[in-house]
Amino acid sequence: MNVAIGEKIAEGAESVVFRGSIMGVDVVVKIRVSRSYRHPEYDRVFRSYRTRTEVRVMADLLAKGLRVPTPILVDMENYVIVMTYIRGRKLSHVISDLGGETLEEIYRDIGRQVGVMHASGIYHGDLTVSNIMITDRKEVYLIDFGLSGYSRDVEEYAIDLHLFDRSTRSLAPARADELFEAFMKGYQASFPRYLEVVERMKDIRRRGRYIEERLRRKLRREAYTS
Amino acid sequence: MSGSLSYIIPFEPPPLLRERITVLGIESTSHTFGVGIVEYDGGRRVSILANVNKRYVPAKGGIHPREASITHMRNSKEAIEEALAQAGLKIKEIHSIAVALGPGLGPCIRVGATIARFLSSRLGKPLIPVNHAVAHVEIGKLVSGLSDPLVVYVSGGNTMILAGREKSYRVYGETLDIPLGNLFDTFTREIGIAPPYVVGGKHALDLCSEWGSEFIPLPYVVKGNDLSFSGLLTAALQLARREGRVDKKRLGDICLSLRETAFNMLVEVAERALLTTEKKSILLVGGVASNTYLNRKFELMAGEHNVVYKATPQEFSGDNGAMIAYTGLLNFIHGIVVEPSKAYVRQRWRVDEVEVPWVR
Repeated sequence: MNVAIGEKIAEGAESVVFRGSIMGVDVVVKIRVSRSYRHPEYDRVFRSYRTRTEVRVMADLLAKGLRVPTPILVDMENYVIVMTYIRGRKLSHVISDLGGETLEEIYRDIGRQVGVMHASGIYHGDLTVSNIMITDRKEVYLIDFGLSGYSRDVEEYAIDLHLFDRSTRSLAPARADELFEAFMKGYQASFPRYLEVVERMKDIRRRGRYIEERLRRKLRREAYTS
Repeated sequence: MSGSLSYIIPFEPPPLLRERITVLGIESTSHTFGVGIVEYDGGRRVSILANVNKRYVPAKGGIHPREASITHMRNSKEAIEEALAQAGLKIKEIHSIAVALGPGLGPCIRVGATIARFLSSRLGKPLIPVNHAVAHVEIGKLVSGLSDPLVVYVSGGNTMILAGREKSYRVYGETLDIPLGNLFDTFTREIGIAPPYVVGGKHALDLCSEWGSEFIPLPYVVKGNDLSFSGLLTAALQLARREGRVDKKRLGDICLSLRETAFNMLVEVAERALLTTEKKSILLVGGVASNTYLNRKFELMAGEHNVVYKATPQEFSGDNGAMIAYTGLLNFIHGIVVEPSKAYVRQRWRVDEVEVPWVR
């Protein structure tokens, strides 16, 4: 099959993403590029591992009925994934334009989908408002599974929640609390271990990376009282 | 240090002060008691007149805060006298006193803070509070001439990616557990090849990496823009205990792979932050900034994105007094001073909580 490659949409730290088309269908072509700063052997292992995991995760999530891009072609020699193009805008771009109720609805659905993902033993690894697409019909798609993986460890799920909440907080600080609450409504409904995850998330925020003592005490207090 | 070094402040300072002043800065947040003296010409030129640094080197194990602080106390008088002699100044001729009040080890910071409070109140000179992390960034910017870089700050106590935004340094990624320098120190100590951790500018890990050649995959933990090194440390130690005991080449392979993995993780998150912030330059600061292999990786990465890359030279990359004096000067010309009675030590003073008026 021939893939026509169009304009570059994004350049990440480890991949370049292009628009393209294959048999008249709009696609995204993600190429994991070589990096000269990596040890050559490591470079190969790294690109191969991340490409394979990304495709497997997307396929598994599709089977669970989640909204993620569909992988169409995989080239393990050149570390290329061709997947369906999601017509929409990033949540990070529309978050300030959307009204309160619509946004809460969206966050509830993100929570539901992330819950289903975690219940399947999969974590995203880079869950931020830039890795969520919103279509015109207000459908929610999770994208970019480049750092995702399989784990039954609550830690990984808690990191997803922590990163997602932090990214919401940096773009919409005034609404972050209610949005996280909406997210949790959807999340609880689809993931029975949600309490464990929330506990761990609080734990992560108290951990190693130094924070002011008073903030640490406040977080500790909250952990005991809530 | 021989002779004085002269630099141009990489931004326009406020015209509040148009006179020549000298600032004495004291650093004591960790293993170094440092005294630096800078002279400001009232325009944009700063000269580093003195930079005297006395390091505490543990005989065994890591830094013992109490032992380090006792060493600092013993070294303090001599360090101050040496710095004044280098600068050819008397203490009375110094305009103001700057001190690193955090972040760092409490007992150590207290030594510098106590001396600074005393000098300030006894001699009636302004006292300027300085954040240690901001000082690392500022001296790096001064020496490299970069005005708005993406900053990678790596040392024994810190690992973070910073960029200036709206009067502060924002953290774009950091370690979730142990710092990179701590990872290297702990690993080499546990396998019995350190202390001393650094010999002739080379870390013990660089030395043992030379024995190996083969790459072994180890846990690579990047979470969003943050790093985690604790799992990597455990995995490398287990491997070293199982396989590296008798076989020197195998131990070399493990060292090489540990260094390779940790540096790749750091360069990857820096690369992500570079693309997010769209900065045009990268600056490496902190004690690990002089590492040849890390520098090579950053050069390659910067080359791929067509941005400027600079590492801070060794004299100013490790903890030093000059960086406190210079940052104190910047604080002073922006009106930041503190009453000696209110100059509290802040062990966990996060860099993103500091107001940095000269950053846009």
